[in-house]
Amino acid sequence: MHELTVVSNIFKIILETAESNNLSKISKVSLKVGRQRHLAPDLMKFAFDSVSKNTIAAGAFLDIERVDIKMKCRSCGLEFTVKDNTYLCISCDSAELETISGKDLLIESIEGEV
Amino acid sequence: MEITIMKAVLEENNDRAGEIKELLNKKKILLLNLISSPGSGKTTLLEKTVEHFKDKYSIAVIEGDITTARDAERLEKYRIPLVVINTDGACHLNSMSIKKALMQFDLDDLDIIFIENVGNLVCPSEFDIGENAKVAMLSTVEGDDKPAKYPLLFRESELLILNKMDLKPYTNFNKESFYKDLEKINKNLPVIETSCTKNEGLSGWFEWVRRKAIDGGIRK
Repeated sequence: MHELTVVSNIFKIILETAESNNLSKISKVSLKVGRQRHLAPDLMKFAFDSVSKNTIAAGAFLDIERVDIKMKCRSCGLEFTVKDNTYLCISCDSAELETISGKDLLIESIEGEV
Repeated sequence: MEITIMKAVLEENNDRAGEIKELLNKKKILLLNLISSPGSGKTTLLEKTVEHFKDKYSIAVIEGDITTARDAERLEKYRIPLVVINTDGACHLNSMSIKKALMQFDLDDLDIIFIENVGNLVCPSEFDIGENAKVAMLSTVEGDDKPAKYPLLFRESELLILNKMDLKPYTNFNKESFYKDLEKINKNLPVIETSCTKNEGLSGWFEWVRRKAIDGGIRK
């Protein structure tokens, strides 16, 4: 249940941002979460609701965009999306890959009222 | 109004991890992060490792435990520097607590620090704690499907120790499908098969640690 750690960090960052922008309410939080991460969106939402209770972020919508796992093959240069946990180049079968995306864990933006 | 943030959620953890890397690189200390399920044999492996290297390297251990210091107590007989981090329920160690733990060691006097992470195949693999390498451990009794079910750890690790090979005949562990899954997830991941309690297969692990120490610029 490391979702709680992750959500606590999110909460800290959005509260700081809201404060420095004089927001009185946070209504939406946009996140990017790579598919390589073992993070369950439902658990994140549940954790967020618990953490944000009675704060200016209470009831905010967590907009979680899942980011595909993309690799670049070091042998043939092809960029491809990893499916079915298969980290082998779909063209030349090489395992020498460079990660382009998939481990993302990013707060993109928040929406709120002053 | 919309405010763009574009910030890594684990920024604080990653920043501290970066500081740990820099510090230990300067002090020429190798930091290895051992990750597995509860009961797969991490502490036994550490007992054997500390014993094996006792005249060669100066070793310290950081024990991550949700509660109790039982793992650390098993290592006390070796008279090595030991720090226990009780996570109070948290399922993983973070770099903030590792940094604090490191302050309790005399870093000028150490070559290798092992971290025994909280027993868990999921959460510890998400957190960079400044280690030189993550080492995954799995025991045959847990089943051959674990790499397929928890791929991140097996992607993030530089070595996999497959332990309790001596118990394999009593399990339905299918070696063929295990290696087949692993080839998809991380073809380049070296696997060392061991039976830690029987002292079998450990030479491959000791050699891996020694190589890693040499690569890390640790003399001896």
